[in-house]
Amino acid sequence: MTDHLDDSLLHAYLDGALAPDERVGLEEHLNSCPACTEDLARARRLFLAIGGMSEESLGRDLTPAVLQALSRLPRWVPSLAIGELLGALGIGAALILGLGTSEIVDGLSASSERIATQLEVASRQLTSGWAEALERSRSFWSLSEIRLPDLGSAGIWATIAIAALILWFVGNGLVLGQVRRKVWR
Amino acid sequence: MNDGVAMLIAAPVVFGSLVALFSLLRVLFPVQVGSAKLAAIEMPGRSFALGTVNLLLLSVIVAALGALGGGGGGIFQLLALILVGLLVIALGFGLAGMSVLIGERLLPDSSLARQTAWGSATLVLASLTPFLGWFGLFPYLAILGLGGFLIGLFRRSPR
Repeated sequence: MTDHLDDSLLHAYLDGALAPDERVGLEEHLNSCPACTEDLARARRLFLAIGGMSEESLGRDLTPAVLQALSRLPRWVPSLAIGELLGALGIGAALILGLGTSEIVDGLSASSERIATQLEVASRQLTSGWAEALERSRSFWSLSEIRLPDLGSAGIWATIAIAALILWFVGNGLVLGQVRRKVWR
Repeated sequence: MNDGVAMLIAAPVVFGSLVALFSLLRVLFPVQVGSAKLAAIEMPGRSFALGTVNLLLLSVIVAALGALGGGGGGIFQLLALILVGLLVIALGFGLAGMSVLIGERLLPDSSLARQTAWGSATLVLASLTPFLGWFGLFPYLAILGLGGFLIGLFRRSPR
């Protein structure tokens, strides 16, 4: 316990919310501390004043007005933020294509190789166990070895894209339909 | 040795960037991030299913569009880039939602900023665990967050 009792402890005492041993300790302190006794008396007067206040009614029900105000909230605010993101994405994609995709892809691939090398070196220096795990992961699955299968014609890729698109629509429709039926009422 | 030094500098910067990104997403887009978190809590199975459907099938579509476009750009590669961008944005929101969820459970009585920062840091560090983090925890959280974000995005407003 500090030199003086804090307000929350005094309020808990007045509310009868203290444990018996806390109550005994607090009363012992009050017997020897005029400042805390004065604080307790002030808090008790405050409690009595609050308890003596009458309950005022608003006079009219504000619920319809609040609900109406909520329905008028600008719903475009979050969608505008997402819209801005999508717009920036489209502009960025167009810029990347305009600047030359092949140079960027080459640059990204060179950077990723450099980063992979640095990661390997640093990992070996930091902890031998980590480096060993990296080595094992390289033999387990090397991302650089992943290549798209050479299917020959563009028609096959177009078929795959369309099939995946249809599956995507169906899958999303099924799951989102279940979600809407389940919870958001 | 230079590589090692560069890596020692880069690693905390990348780590800090991810933590800052997730924290900023929560501040700027509280509705979307909160919806992702809520959906992941209330409907983890459906969130995971939706995330799996979108991640797998969009990846196939992107690969097919990339192959159609060849190496010379064009409309297919533009579409592929836009799809990749959308996927990355959705993953970012989903992971931000997951970091908020982790932070709230780790530090229930702390401030929002502290929860998000610690949640993000925990998510990033745990995802760096060899094998278990790379192939287990991170894909799980990413897919769950992605699905949660999409459910939150398309949910109907309460009446």
